[in-house]
Amino acid sequence: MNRLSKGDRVPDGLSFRLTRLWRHSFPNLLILPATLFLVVLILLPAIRTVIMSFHEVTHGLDDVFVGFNNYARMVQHRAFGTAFWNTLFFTATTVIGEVGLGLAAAVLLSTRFRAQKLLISLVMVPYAVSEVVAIIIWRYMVEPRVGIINFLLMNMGIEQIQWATQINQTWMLIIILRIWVRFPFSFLIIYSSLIGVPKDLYESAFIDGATNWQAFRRISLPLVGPAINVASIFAFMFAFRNFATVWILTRGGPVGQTELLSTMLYRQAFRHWRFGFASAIAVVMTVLTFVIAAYYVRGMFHSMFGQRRMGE
Amino acid sequence: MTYQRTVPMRIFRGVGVTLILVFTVFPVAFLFASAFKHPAEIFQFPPSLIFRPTLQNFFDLPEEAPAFLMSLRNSAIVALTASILTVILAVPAGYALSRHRRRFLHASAFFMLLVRMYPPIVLTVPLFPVFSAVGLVDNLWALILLYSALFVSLCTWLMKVYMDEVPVELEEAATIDGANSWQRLTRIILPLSVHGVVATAVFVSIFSWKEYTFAYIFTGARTQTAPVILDLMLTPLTTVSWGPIFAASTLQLFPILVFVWLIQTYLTAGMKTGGVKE
Repeated sequence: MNRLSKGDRVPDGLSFRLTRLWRHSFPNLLILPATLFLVVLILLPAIRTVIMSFHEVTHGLDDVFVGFNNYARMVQHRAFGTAFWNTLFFTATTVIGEVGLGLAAAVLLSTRFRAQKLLISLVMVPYAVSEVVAIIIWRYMVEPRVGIINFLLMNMGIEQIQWATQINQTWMLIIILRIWVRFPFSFLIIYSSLIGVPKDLYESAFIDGATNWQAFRRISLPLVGPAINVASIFAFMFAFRNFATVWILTRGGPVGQTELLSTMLYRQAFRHWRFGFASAIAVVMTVLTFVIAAYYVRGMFHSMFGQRRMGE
Repeated sequence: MTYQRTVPMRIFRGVGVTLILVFTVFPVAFLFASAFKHPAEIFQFPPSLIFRPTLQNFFDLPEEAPAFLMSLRNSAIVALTASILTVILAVPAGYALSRHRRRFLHASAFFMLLVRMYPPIVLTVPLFPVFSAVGLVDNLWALILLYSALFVSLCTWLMKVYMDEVPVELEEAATIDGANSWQRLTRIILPLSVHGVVATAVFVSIFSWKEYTFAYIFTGARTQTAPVILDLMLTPLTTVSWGPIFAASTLQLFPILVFVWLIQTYLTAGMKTGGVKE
């Protein structure tokens, strides 16, 4: 902060020291409210979750320490295996779908043409749609007998979708719906990076006789690689923690076959009021998220502090 | 121009863009259309694409879901208040990160990044007993606090990125003219990074308007937001009455679409700065 004090009056004793103290603590005071807010609403509850996962928690009674009991019960629970693999399956399929479709849309819409801006806004439409509304729309379209997709399928002589009873079709509906809601997000991240690729790179490649495919493969793809990574990590995080899509559509059914870790956590906590048990699931979910996200956090933190700022 | 406009390329792009647009736009357009169909026509088989628009479903809505209009009001209150609270917290924090380097700032920034990775559904378990003890269950403040908490870190970071764009020299000049830190923030930095403030508020309000999980868990009869009521309408004990559901979905979705349309430049600018929250 030395440069800042150039314009000040000549320092004198106490007031000088007070001014210096104020100068020194001012930035800290600026960030303090946000930090405290997050400590109270996220960090302390997170610590409490870890503690609760080692206790039997009953409303109105003191917590009873039970060691790793909750974790043992969780692993042995009949729904846990299903929920765990379903979560991985749901995450993997939707991440590939979202990022793949986002990349395709970004490439298709990145070349200049008429109505480009309008079309980009239209592609972004699902971003504004609440998951509940998305489910309403898609359920209506595949409703037995009246849904428009089922009507078209029937006209083509294909069997109708029975998403409520056939587990494969339930998953297909969940995944398509999820990709529909989420891919505009990947699209925008990749698109923003794609339009930043210098145009001379393409021009010189075409002068050297490159085809469009080669230009995509050798120029676009490597240069938007980091954006694809970012999009994938975000897609992963939001798919892994997702509760709403499956809960609204199936409540984990039919007969528990679409249970995820998140829906299992909800069921244990808010249907059976087993908060200790639910906390064990919560800890597992958090650890798995951070294992994947750690790589991203590091890169992000470094990029955040690579710029010049005052007082250096 | 990036790719060469060869004939196969044009065909490929034409087909690809059409398919993607049908995929994204058709479902929404179909929803809006169905909201204005007569209840008897909604179940018509095959589905009719040309029809006489009617407001019947909107008239049926209050009877079918008496709480819906109230829930829209709740959603609006939460979205607005949560955005304001987030901006109040994020602007000074972003300014500190943009202009200063301290160990405490670094620690806070790192903490905020970690917090952003934390799965929200996991928060409901430790928070529910506390919130019910202090009367925050069935209270709109629960949602306001939680939505802000989920966005403070992202928005702080957004504000930092926007404020990095404001030249340090402007502030130095103001200092020489005798401006103190507070005056520099309010008179110079804020007006020049107003795009960032708008982007911040927009992200929080869109998210709050759409959010289901926290709303489902922490609201009660008085405070249900629109997505919760829509979920209730979709899972009745008897048959689903699609007409009123479409009317309600339209009332929930249309305003936010118009809003996103109006501020899309801010949204794109915000997205460009990197990953953005759900």
